Amino acid sequence: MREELPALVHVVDDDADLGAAIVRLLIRNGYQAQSFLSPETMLDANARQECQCVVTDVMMGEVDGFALAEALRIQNPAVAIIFMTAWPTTANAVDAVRRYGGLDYLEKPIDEARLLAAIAEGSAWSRRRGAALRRIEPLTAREREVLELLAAGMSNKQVAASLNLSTRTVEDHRATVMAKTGASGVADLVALFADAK
Amino acid sequence: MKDSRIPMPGHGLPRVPSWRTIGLWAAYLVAFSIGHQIAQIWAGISFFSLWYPAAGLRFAFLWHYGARWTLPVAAAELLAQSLLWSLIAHHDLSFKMAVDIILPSLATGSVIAVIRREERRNSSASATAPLPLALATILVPTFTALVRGGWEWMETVQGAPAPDFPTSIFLLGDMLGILIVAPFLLWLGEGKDRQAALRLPWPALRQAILIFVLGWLLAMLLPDLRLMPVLLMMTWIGLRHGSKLAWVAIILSSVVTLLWSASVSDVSTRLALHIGLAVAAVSAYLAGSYSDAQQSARESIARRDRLLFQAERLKTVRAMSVAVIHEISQPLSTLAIESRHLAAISRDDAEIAESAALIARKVETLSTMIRRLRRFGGRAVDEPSPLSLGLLLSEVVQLAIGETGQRADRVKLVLPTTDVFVMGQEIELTQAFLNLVRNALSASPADQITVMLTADAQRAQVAVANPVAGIVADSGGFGVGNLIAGAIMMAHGGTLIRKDGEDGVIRHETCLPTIEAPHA
Repeated sequence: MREELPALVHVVDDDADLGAAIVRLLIRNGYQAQSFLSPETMLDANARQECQCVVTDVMMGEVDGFALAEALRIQNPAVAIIFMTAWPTTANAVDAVRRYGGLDYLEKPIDEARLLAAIAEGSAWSRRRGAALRRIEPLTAREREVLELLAAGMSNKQVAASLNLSTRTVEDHRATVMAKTGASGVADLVALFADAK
Repeated sequence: MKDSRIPMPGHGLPRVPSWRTIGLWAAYLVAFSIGHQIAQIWAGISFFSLWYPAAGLRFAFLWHYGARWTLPVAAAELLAQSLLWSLIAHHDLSFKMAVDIILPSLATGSVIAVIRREERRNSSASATAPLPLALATILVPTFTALVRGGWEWMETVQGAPAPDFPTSIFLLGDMLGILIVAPFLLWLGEGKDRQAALRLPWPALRQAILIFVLGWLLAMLLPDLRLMPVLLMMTWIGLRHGSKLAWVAIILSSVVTLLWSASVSDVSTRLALHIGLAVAAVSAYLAGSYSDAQQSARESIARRDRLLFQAERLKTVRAMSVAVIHEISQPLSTLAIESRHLAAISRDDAEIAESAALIARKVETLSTMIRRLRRFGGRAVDEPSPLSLGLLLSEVVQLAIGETGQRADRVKLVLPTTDVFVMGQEIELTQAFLNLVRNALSASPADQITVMLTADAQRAQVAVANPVAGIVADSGGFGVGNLIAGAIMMAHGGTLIRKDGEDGVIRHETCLPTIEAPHA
């Protein structure tokens, strides 16, 4: 079995010392890590090599942590984002998680254990989501619809009725989905869809 | 603490009078009899007196002790006049005369009760001391004269002979009596500081004396002007120096006028002099009281300005502390990570490892403190929100103990089983309670202080109690903590009262309106 490379984590903070300290911490904990002083330079680097996890400050220069998250999602939908801030507010914490898909919202001074736990969880999630996205990438739009309904627990007949197709056609689509994604059964399909969502 | 509040009108005298009450009543009876007899010096053939000092005594008594004394005062006057009437004139008292006697005290009591009630309810300028008193001194004789006039009219309609004393003269006598006597008696009851109000710097006093002499010289030299110069002079003194000096001018002018009128046999001249004096006295007293009320309003505004300034300063300090918290939290994050790492990699050298671990622990303590500080002062906008008073007080106690380095058992926190909620600004309320607890801790350095929360359906009460220490501890503050706490409570629709208990415990009691527990 091919040994998996350590997850790549990008750290974005306008405080160079803090960025470097976090990077060293992550390297000591078995990650690949790189720090950036601005969101722009980080986006450039991510375009060259996609990372699994980004730890970013919220308040920076012209592009803040939330704007960076929006740009990053377009570039890499499978990246896990962790926000950190010295100005925590309830409204920002809610936005960070619900609107910008952040995995955690950390208050400075950073709680080291919580940061490492969040990065571990984020890297694992990112790998799963990346793999799932790659598996469903070859599917056509119709096949994705079929996959979604099957993952929701519908039978072939119910899917056919829902999409105005014949049961036979749905069975064909299902076979193609299984073949393209390499899924071993319906349970695998449900898990795959959950990871890719 | 002496309770100098005036009793509520609805609160009567005790059913069984104390010796003090009886003594007071008897003293009033004697004083009233004397005042009544003195008035006869300025009597005429068809009227009783142009100056009735007993009315001033009655007014001062009811104003000071409360309208609940109205009936005992009426009884005292009835007894005094019936005794005087039978002893001196050797006549029995008729029913009409009895009504004549008690009507003024009933009317005076009613007007004072109404004005006192309005004074408590109303917060407008007219309710600012001493304007209510000034209004009462004018309204009481006016209303009394109206009541008496009405009563005489009813009797005349029923066929009784025309009254011996015209109502206008009755009004004049009462008004002069009240204006001249009542302020002096009330001033005597003001306590130790009463002389301060009469002190004037010499230039101002010289000016007032000059104006006074000039007014009377003009009045004497130009008799056609009647007492007009005196009126202007007295009004000027009232406006310039307040009600106390106005009253001194009234007294001096009254002495001159009364001595003058006592020697005049012509009734119309006498009447004119007394009317002139009454008008001047009313004008002077109103002007003086207005000036006092304005002065009091100015002081109140200045006090509020100081509080506002303090609040603004607090706001600035808070903003600064938030900025500092932000700046500190950045390097502290770096320090925390690196010190832990240093501790981890220097296990081979025990000394370095120990030092690194110590730094890591201290950084962790600092980080916790920064997070707590941020929660306390780091919100940009502190909108009113439902607050659990129990939680808020727990946090206050922790902060107070933490910042002063006290033992945890220095503060005993007593909370009810059901939590109490108020609508308020968390930071401001925390600041207010923190001030109270901090002051209590520094005032009783060796004793345990108690913070107790109680509540009923509408109000929550928080009492911060500390035993009085033998020595006064220097808290190092400027004493504005309680002022700020009081202002914050008022802004939340509550109150802050200090009570010095006889058990040697000082209690600061705050009262706040409660709300229902918010739904989770």
